Amino acid sequence: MQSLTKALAWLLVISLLLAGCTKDKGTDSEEIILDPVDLLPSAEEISGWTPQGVAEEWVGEALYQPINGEAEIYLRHGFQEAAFQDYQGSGSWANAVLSVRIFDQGNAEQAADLYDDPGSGTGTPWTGSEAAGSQARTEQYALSCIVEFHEAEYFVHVDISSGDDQALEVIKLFARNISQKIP
Amino acid sequence: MPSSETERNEIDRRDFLKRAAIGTAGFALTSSLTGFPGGRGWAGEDLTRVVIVTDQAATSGTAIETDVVSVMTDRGIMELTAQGSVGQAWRSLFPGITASSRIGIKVNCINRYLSSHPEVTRAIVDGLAAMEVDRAPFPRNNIVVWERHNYELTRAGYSIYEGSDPDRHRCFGTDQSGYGYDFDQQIDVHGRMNYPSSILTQHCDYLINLSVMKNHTMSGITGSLKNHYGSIHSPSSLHGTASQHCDPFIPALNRQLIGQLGVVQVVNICDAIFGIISGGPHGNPQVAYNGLLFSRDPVALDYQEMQILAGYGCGTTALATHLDTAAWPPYQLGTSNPEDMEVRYIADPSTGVTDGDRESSRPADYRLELAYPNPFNARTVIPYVIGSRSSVPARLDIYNVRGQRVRTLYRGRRDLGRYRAVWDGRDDRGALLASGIYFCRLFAGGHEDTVKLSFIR
Repeated sequence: MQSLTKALAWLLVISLLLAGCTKDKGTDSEEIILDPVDLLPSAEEISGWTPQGVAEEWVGEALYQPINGEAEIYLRHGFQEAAFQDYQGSGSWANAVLSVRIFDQGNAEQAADLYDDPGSGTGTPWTGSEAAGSQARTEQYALSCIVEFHEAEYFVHVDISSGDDQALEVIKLFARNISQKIP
Repeated sequence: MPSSETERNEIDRRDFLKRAAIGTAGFALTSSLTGFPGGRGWAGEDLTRVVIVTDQAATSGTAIETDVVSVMTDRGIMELTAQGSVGQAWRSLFPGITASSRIGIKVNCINRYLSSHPEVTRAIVDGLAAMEVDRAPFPRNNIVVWERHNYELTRAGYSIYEGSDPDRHRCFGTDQSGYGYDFDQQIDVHGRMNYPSSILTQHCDYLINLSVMKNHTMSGITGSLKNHYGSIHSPSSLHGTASQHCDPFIPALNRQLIGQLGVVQVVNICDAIFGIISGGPHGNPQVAYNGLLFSRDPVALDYQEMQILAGYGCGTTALATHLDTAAWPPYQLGTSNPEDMEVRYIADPSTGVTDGDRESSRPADYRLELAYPNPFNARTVIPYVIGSRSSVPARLDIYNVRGQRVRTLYRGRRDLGRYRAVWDGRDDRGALLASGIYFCRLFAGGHEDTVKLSFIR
């Protein structure tokens, strides 16, 4: 009996600890808030692509450090934190540079406002059931492609140093992967 | 902030433009150019000279052909200065130079994927070393390539070097031990206090401004004027509000650096080998323009860069209001009026083929040039020339073989210059069109020209 009580006590402690580790908004919905870094595709998730080095995480005005000159537009729309990660391709993608930048803009409205900001980007709307996020767009150039979307409080930018149609499909794959993880 | 600056900023810019249009601003413009040491295209010229050198052999995919870039740099500086040799050309930019003078080259490495390329910098250093100063070649060790941080230089492909090997130029960031910012030289940039790099104030007698062709979410474009945000300790303090677009902070900073600190900026060069036309200043290169731009006038240089970006469909060029601000009092850094620019084009110097209108220096007509690639799959680049000295209505449309217009690539007004449009085989709604023959038609200034395009899906 004593050992059962002890086990129950441990279980309670562990449960409390786990509850403390889970971020929530303090609402009844128990909604889990993920850090941008939690949304990044990991090594095994997208075949042929592995993270290059450790993801960079930036909070508040520290965003000036990696993207000085561009940080204001995110800060203007409620920027909270961001995760940047480059990926290394294999095979025919061995020389390509693929970059993912995920920005937490605080809430869905601010993320949407950022998306609509004339300075944040333009592009061809990416619509249909395969599209990522609440709204998405693509840009295709001679040397690179970009996908951007917003969903919930996140604004996501993915680009790759290749301008062909296959490259666009690769970054769409990344975008969908990230989008699917957003609760 | 000086009160005179505040008062002058209240002058209606549209009024200035109107006055310029009717020819009454000539005096103001002349004084603006003479107020800036590098404002003139060249001594004795009435127009500000901008040289645009392009060479399709400059790149192969994302790789840069060093030898081609070297030829482009040499030709550009010779054309700018009208000198017969590379050494003489560079030498002519540095009146009063001695063997102990120090030359700084301010590069732009803020974007890890698109910085001032080391290949371009190397060509400039080689050119400077070809100068004869005090009856000897100018010492390479007197040349400093610099940026804000060592890590920015390193990741862009530069090697940090602070040694004294006479045959090797130095290269380091303001954060290099023993340098830093010059806290004895506070500068007032439109009411925001800042401190310049000590490399600029204490270790350079002359400056070469080497920028990169990129659009910018805040200021519309980067360029030689914006490049000086890397010359101070707190660039983030000078972006202003959303509606300011870094204006007038960019001109104010340049005026402070040039005017108050007495920096002798002898030439501005824009590395337009590649470019970013959307989402800049960060991200991967998006287009290969294969070009270098040269001018003593930073405003004129940036204006021409803006035209190139606009030709690619860049959506932020309208935000670059700082160019007009820079041209007029109280800043007077150069000219943003294309009527006052003499643009000289040099095409493919590595193959010895030069632009036919090089001698006349201005495009003579309205025409579409050969699109490339053609036939095409993903996209084709369509260069075209507007030959009017004044702004004219222009539009560029794609038609199918039945004569139906399927896509408008450009509709608006165009100034004198050479542009490039990109067509991706899609119609105005973004739908991919069928394989086949299409026609690109340019209407401008009452003229019309057509080229055939073959689209293969």
